[in-house]
Amino acid sequence: MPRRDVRSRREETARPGTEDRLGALPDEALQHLLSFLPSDDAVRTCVLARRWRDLWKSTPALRITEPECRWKKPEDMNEFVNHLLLLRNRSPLEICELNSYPYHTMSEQRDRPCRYIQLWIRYALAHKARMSVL
Amino acid sequence: MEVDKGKGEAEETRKVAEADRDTVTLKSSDGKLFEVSKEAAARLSTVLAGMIAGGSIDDNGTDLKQIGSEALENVVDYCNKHANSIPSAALISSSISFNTAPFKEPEEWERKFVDRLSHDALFDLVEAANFLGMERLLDVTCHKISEMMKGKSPDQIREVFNIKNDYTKEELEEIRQELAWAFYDD
Repeated sequence: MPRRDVRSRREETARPGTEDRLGALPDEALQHLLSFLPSDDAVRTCVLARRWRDLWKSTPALRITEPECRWKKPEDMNEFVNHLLLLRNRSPLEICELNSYPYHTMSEQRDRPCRYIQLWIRYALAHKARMSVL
Repeated sequence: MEVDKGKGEAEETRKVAEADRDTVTLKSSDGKLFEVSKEAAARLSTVLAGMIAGGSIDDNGTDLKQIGSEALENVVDYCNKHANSIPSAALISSSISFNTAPFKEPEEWERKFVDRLSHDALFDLVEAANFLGMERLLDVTCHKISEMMKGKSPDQIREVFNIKNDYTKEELEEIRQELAWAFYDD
């Protein structure tokens, strides 16, 4: 049986509501739309189907938002971002949105949430991110 | 406009009039014609801008064989609405602490514009925007799809978009182990 790719499957099934219109989009469009998602959501799309396995690697965005709702402790967030930057492809990073993990300035552990932020910013700059500090 | 003139003269008048036209006519795959402001088309679509600059616009309707009439109607509608909208000043969310901000959040009318589309019409429009090189429309439509994915589990996303999970159980397990740093809650 010939291997059916996404395009031919789309042509075969004309029934609305049963096609995978999302998976039929070109890689660039999918990477583009992943760039709007928080990075942890974007990476986790890899389990959807084979089509999605590596798309997160070339998503041109690093978006860390509401970290305190997403990671139980700053170390988990650090681990996530360090892995993401290490394992993503050498594609440009157009968007870099970084919200730091909340911390108390008087706490002895205050360096934990910010330990790598300078490093991440340097990574983003080296990957051509257009930056503005707000 | 063509009154009793010699044929050559009438032809000349028509040509001049069309060179001065401020609209372009686009033809969908199913043969329907749509008119859109030349200025908006050139500003919003790199492909149409190239065609206008290169003189490859057909006055009887430029063939866009990849785009159906419903999607093309939405494209033209978007161009017209865009031409009439006043850009708002406060586009960047104030909660962002560090942001490169190349993307401006959709404006109210852009949200309404994509919200009223059916599932298929939305995807037809993404494909049309991609084909025509309409960066802003692609942003707005992709942003809408990303909103539909946000906060959903993989199973929920598969259901919304009819995605067939073609992984084996073992493969999924392997991915989760490989990317344990991204699946910290499981």
